[in-house]
Amino acid sequence: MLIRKYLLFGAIMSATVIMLALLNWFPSAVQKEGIRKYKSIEDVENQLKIRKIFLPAYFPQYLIWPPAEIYAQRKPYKMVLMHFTNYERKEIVLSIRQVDPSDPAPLVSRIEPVTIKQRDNVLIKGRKGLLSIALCPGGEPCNSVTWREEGYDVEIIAKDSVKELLKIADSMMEGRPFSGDRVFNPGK
Amino acid sequence: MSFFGSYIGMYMVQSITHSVLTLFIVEMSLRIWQVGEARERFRYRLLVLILPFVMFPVFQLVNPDRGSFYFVEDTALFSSLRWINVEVFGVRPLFYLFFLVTGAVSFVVLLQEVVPIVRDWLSKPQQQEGEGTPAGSAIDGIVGEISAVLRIKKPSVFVIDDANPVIYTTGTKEHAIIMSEPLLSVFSDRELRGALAHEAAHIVRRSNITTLLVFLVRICMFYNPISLLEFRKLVQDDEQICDDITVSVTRDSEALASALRVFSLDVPHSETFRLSFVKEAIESSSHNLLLNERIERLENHVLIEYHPYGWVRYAASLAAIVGVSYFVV
Repeated sequence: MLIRKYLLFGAIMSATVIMLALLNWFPSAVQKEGIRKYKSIEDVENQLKIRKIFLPAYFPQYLIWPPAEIYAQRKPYKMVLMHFTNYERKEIVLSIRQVDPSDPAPLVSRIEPVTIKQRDNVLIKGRKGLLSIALCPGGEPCNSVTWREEGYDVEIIAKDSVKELLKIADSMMEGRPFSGDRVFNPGK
Repeated sequence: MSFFGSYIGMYMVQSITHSVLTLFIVEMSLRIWQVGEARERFRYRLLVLILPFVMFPVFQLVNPDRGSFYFVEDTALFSSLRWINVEVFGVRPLFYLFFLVTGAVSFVVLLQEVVPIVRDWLSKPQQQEGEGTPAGSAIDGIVGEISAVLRIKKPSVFVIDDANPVIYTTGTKEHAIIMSEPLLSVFSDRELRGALAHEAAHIVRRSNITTLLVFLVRICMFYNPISLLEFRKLVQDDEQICDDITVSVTRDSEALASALRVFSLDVPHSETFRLSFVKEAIESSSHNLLLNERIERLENHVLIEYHPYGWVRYAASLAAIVGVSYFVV
């Protein structure tokens, strides 16, 4: 009799967990334009009708293509965030985010810097950008660069050198080739 | 940062969601474990009030990342904000419903609890605890006898000059039973013994301090509709436990039932609509409803012999509530 009661209790708790999971799934099933995880960049383009998705032409060899995760939304603000993993370490080492500048609280990357050591203005194919030399939790280098392009704030965070970071950023921009003349001085 | 992204916003949303979940699991547990004792039921229901009050800060201490988007995305079982942000024709109905419900509940708590306390405090600043005249040797004798059975220090009994039938216990360390003068003539000896034993039972259970703590939690969660409802159930359970203790001492449930009838309130009515009448009528009807439930219970002799407490099943319910709530944000 007592065993039956414990089994019934276990069954009811399991049903509660399943019910909660279903209730959690339902809003994302009916709200197509809110923030969601997507399987591919094509899905984002087709389902959210976001025409311009910034992708690097230069892609370091240690990164795995396609992105490990893609989060995107159309409403209330357009946003695409991609995370890329390292081939050997199998951890996220690069994130690329484009977000509507009017979004007051955009989704942050999984590799968010915790200690900013230095900030500098840089030019990315002639566009003004801001470079942050920073550290991630654990003291790992975690540099980022942001600039505005085609109505988006674009941000790249990489667990890599400043040189590689800017190379990736440059490769995402159309227009004149990189002149090598930056405001930033990496030797500082 | 939006309101729901702040710690206050997260606390409000999650404490309400956790209250609903805890209430569901507790009610299921009461049925599955077939809990009939008021004492055991009280302990289960206490969880509905206390756990949602403390779980959010404890969870955040255990895992500060619990409020992040990635916890919701990767780990959480249920996110309240997903529902709050659901848009229907460009409007977020649950967003507005949340503020409507919490606002209405806060207003009720303010009107029902805070205003009367402040009003009483302002209008009767001269009234102090312990006011009244000693009840006399006959009543002292009854209370002494009951106290000996319940193994408590004999409380003093004072009679106050109040036209209403009133009896209650004061104090948290040194207790005293206060009763109004009309009760001395209204109560028979048996009823008086039952009423005094009931008050002594409150002393045994330390009801004053328990109720005060529960009340403070309820006031802290002034916006939470579940806390508002659950507080009443807890108070009612506490009264039933004291009824059970009383009958175990006096062996006279009919006398206690009869004594309780004295406290029924007249429900006011008026030919013309007045808000104060409506409020008073609702309060009186609610009071009578709870009183009648106790009277019926005593008359039907549904008093239970207490048995060793089911701690294992209680622990199972507690673990289920805490375990599931951690993943509900």
